[in-house]
Amino acid sequence: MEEEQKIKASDELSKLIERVKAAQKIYATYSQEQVDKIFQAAAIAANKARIPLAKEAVEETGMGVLEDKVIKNHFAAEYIYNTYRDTKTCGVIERDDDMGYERIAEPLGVLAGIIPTTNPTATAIFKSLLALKTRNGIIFSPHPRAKKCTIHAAQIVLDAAVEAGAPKDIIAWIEEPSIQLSSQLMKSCDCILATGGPGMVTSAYSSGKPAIGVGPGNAPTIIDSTADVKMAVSSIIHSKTFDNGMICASEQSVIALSDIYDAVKAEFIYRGAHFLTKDELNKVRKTIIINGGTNAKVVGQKPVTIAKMAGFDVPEDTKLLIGEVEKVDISEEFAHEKLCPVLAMYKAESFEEALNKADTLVRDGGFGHTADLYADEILAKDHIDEFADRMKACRILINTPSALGGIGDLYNFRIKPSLTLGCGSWGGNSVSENVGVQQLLNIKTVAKRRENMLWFRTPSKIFFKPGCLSKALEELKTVYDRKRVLVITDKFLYESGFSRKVTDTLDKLGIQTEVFSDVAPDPTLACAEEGANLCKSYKPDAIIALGGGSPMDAAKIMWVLYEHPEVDFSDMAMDFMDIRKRVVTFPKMGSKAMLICVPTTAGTGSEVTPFAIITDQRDGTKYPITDYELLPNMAIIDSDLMLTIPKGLTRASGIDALTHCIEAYASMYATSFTDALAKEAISEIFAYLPRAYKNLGNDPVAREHMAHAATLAGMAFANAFLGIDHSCGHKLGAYHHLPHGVCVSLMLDEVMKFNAGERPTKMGTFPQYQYPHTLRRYAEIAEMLGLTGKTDEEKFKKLLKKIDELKSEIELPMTIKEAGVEESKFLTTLDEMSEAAFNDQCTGTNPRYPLISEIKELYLKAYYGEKEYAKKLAK
Amino acid sequence: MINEKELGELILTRNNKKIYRNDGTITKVYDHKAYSFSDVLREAMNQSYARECGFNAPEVYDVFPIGKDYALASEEIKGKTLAQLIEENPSDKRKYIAKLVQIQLDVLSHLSSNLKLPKLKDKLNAYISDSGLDASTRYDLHVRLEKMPNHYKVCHGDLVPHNIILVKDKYYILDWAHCTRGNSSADAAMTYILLVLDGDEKGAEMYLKEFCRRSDIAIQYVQQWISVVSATKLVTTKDKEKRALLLRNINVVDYI
Repeated sequence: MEEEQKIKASDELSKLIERVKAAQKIYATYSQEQVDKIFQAAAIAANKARIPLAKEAVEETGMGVLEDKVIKNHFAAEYIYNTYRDTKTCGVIERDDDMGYERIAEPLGVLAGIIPTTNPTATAIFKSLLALKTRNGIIFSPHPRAKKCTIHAAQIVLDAAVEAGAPKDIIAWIEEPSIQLSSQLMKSCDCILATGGPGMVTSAYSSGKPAIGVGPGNAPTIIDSTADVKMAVSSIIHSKTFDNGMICASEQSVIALSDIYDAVKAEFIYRGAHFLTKDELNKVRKTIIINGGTNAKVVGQKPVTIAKMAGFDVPEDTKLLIGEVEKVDISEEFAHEKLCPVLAMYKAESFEEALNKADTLVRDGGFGHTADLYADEILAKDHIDEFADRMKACRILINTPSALGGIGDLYNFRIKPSLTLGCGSWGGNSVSENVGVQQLLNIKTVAKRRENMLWFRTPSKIFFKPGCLSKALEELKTVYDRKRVLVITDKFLYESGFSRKVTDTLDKLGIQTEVFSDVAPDPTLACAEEGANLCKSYKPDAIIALGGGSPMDAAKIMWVLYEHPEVDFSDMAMDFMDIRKRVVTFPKMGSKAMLICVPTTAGTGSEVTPFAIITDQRDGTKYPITDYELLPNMAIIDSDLMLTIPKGLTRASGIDALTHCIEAYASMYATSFTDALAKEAISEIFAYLPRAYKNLGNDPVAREHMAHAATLAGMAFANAFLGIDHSCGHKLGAYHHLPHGVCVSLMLDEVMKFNAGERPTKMGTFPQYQYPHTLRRYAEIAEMLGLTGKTDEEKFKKLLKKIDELKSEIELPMTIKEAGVEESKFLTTLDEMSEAAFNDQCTGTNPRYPLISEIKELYLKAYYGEKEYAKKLAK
Repeated sequence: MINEKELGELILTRNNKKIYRNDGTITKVYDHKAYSFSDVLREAMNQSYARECGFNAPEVYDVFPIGKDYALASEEIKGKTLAQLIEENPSDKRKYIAKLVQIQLDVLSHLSSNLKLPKLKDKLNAYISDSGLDASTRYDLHVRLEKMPNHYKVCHGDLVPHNIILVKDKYYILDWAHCTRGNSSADAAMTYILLVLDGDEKGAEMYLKEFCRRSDIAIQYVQQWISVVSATKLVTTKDKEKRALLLRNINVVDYI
């Protein structure tokens, strides 16, 4: 029979859930305007019913104080309405067209509202209003001890909501609550909003549905020596007597510092609290706690009633029963949550001791809930900070009645009003804040594809034209007023007297100079440190780098070490995916000296780039350093300084400049700003590199064009960056000691063929890079060079042919083998080299994201030549 | 049909049971008004299962009807119960209580996934439903029980000094009727409440402290189940004072 009834009740609940689900489906289509109207009507109705509902709650449960329950109902209706009246909860709640970002609020569905006996009507009002505001349906599972008043509260809100246009089943309840029905409800709803005992909250969290459940409190209150005792005592009495101590945030114990302990006690007595005698204390202990649980009979009762139960009398108007106790662990009954106007009082000799006591009380009984401190905000600022730091409580209340402060918006106006207070993971809850509408919405994020902001950066001044050096250097005096210049150069340029072109000019200007000429190729950290030491004693206000890539790289690093001796190169060299999002922030440069670069070769472009490579001589690690802070302040391109470049260097640096252009043009970061520079430099290099190589110093026109082309290429790749031709080239040079320019030239054809693939294994990740288009990009270069063809493939082939013709014209080797790398040595290093190349910083902007196996293949093809390699494979 | 007289000497009558001894066999006769045949079979099965688990329990010889009642015959274990020992040597009580705890922890250290044993939580839930308490209190108790973790430790369910016989350095455990799989703290709470109901409140406190010390379980963790297990004892407890004690234990709350 009983079984039959259970099944019937379960069937009825299933039908009820279906009805609420149907109503919610309709309600989910309501506009913000409709919802706000319903929200307001419901709040008004609840507000009007606050007194009858409070009466019903006290009558039905036999707990609490009518007048305080009126406040709770009032609070639940008015404060919740006021806080969320203008909150957007329907549809688009945030829109940022520039960033292509939108947030859309949708309801969760049907909520299961679990209501406790301690706040039966206020919590029902609170949860109903939140549900209505968020377009959720809600089904209440009241506590059997408070079912009538809970249901009545829900009914009042429902009637008003329906009157204002809400679907008729949007709020519902279980008429005859039982554990079976509440667990059925929790398993069938979309989200559980559980306020109740720990068992109910555990059950909610284990139902398999998302749950917002909150735990018990055991708020300790420290009264610091600096506290306003009168205010503290009256606040505690006010809060602890509120609804006869049934609010979960209520004070459970007071810890007063010893120097004010007597004053606190006297004030408590003056305001009507009763301090228990030893005998009374033991009686109360046995009355309030039974086997570690709160005696149900004392919950929400007056002190006089509790005293009577314990077997002694106190005056009718006694505010609180206070027990002076010592132990804070759970063997002391007074250390528990008491849910009635009974308070524990402790004495602490120091603030530290008070903190320790409060910490134990929170951990044992109300982990994550609330903790209070009374202290002077100015005098005891450090105590307040320490308290906030130490307490594992989600609400840290200062000079605030705990019960009323914890529910929010009464004593502080940023803490959200709520009757469901999260205790975070400490309390085993999913939320740590005061629960509000934000937890009851599904937020959809609409994210539209947007391109990243890009940039174009160069040194603030670039001077060029043959013979411009001395004129440009004049600015050091006239514009920048520099007094002490350090010239960084290599031995050859120094000993050949080349560097005097700089120092003589500066001497004439009356600027003091010093020369550091110990830069060797592939400059080391030791060399940079030596230069930095010189800087330290010499204190230059300008550094001039004179030479090829090595002196310029070395000068950049010396500059960093001079300005920021604290930097760690392994941090600075950390690889990044996006230069703007790198983990390590590069220090600000230029506070001690400015950097001027004067190139004497045409190729590296270092005078206009933010890059430098330095080798740690101790273990051979190469640190590629990249940051726009490293950009020189001034570049002086005087091709007269390049007339004497030897043949080998002319072709190696010239072809390097060409690869800079081609890689920058194909890079995912390429922009029209860098494209223009790259294209111009490509046509210049094709036109003048063979002439410069053939005629050397006899062709100043070719030298001038090559000098400018190298700087143009430098500006292109300083902003668009490079690709895997450089990744592979860097490692080939490192493992097999070939000049950099030769390495990148050897890899170029294979890399271009690889990048031109229309069906790459993986394309690069960058919003600007929409689909693999590198073949087209190469074809554009071909078109610019006047190479014709019916298809892009044809044009691309002609471009490769033209590059090969240029290489042979300047007598560069066509394969790695031809360049003299021994086959067995090449093959033993191949795997390591492939992985290292994959990991090179330049790989990140390559239009085709390479697999390590693909890089290995590229190396093999570049070693044997494509045809030879094909033959080997065929064998 | 066997006659009750054939079962030997009647040595004890209590809780609707009569116990006979005859030449190495102990026969328990269950009053049919309180026990069904399946109840008796279950006890026999639990007792056999306990032996299969390696516990020292009397061997089951037979289960048979006798008149309208049912009987379970098993091996007689010759020796003194822990209860007798405590009575005879009151100064050694602490030592014997420690022995009880050690035996209990021994039993609890066995895990069982055997479906023959009911789950402790299911059993407690059923008892609460049948406790005769008002709906609100039952609701609170069910909710409280929800918190109990689903462990799979072998819980004897009735482990009191009466049910343990010491034979030299060996011990035997009797009366496996209430054996379940579940949470050790709840099993300890049960032993605690049984000791209290037996009128030995001091011994109960001594036991609880010793159990928590030896198992390193916080005392309040065991205490929280006292209300639940108290509810399960309501049906069989008739004594007014004892009922009042149980009701006092039951009437606690953990609201927020």
